[in-house]
Amino acid sequence: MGKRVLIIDDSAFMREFIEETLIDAGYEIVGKAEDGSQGIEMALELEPDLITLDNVLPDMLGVDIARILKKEEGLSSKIIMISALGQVDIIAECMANGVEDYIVKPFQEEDLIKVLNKTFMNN
Amino acid sequence: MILNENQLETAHKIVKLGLQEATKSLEFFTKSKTRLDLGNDFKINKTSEKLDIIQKKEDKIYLLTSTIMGDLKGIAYLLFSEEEVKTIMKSIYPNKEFDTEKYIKKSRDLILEVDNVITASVVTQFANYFDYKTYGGVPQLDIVSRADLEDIIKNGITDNNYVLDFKAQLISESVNVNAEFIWFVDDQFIEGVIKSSMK
Repeated sequence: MGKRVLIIDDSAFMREFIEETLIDAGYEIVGKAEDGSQGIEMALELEPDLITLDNVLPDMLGVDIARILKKEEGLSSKIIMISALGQVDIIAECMANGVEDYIVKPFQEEDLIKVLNKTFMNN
Repeated sequence: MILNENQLETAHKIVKLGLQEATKSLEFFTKSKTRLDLGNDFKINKTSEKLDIIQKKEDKIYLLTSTIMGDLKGIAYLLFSEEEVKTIMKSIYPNKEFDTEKYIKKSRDLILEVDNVITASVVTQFANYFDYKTYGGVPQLDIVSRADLEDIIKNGITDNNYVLDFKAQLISESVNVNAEFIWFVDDQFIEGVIKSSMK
């Protein structure tokens, strides 16, 4: 059984792209959420091995979701941020709030797989 | 004149860099060499002046709206005609046939993501050059008639004193469309440009 992944992204296009890429690479998608509150709820309920998280969602920022899940709830799931925002201070803030790695769009399928594989290899 | 020649050139350069970054994202979609050429018709005006900037004449317009938040605030509009959206769709899904409902959904999802990466790329350049913490919000798509467009866009003026108006030609193997950008921004934009032009 592949590692269990939850996708949190408001973009249907990105949810589909990430899902297809990860399934092809042997990961199991256990859930998809399109906003922050739905994402937090699903993450706490499903306790996935990994969460791919967009940084700008309709109801909240990804960095706040990471902080809630990792710092307040103590969730053990790894979080990979995927965002078009590439500013250094934003990335640093995410990493300080429990994000394992940060992928700036655009990226190729193999970039995503490489980051996920590295995350599990390091842990 | 709001900005002198040097300052206007700085603003033009920053937007151009943002669009160049966006090009990489667009290649991700088109899977072919893509260019996003910023035209020379790059204007910054006060919103208090007469607003007559929309160039698209088609009856049906895809209007993408993103809020700019943080140190720099504003509203970013990106306009495509229906034909342009069809061309982009065809280039990205060249061999796929969708039923009408699925086609509408797919084209909405795609064009929203295209807007998301373009806006974020330009906003990221502003943030880097101006040393601001700023980002673009979740984009929204409205398909509107040309007749309604001007009124909708005017809603973006609230609290935003300046309007950036520029066009960019999106070119790949199978796409050649003119994206029209109308960005309303607050005073922080002008301050940021002036500061950057002195570096």
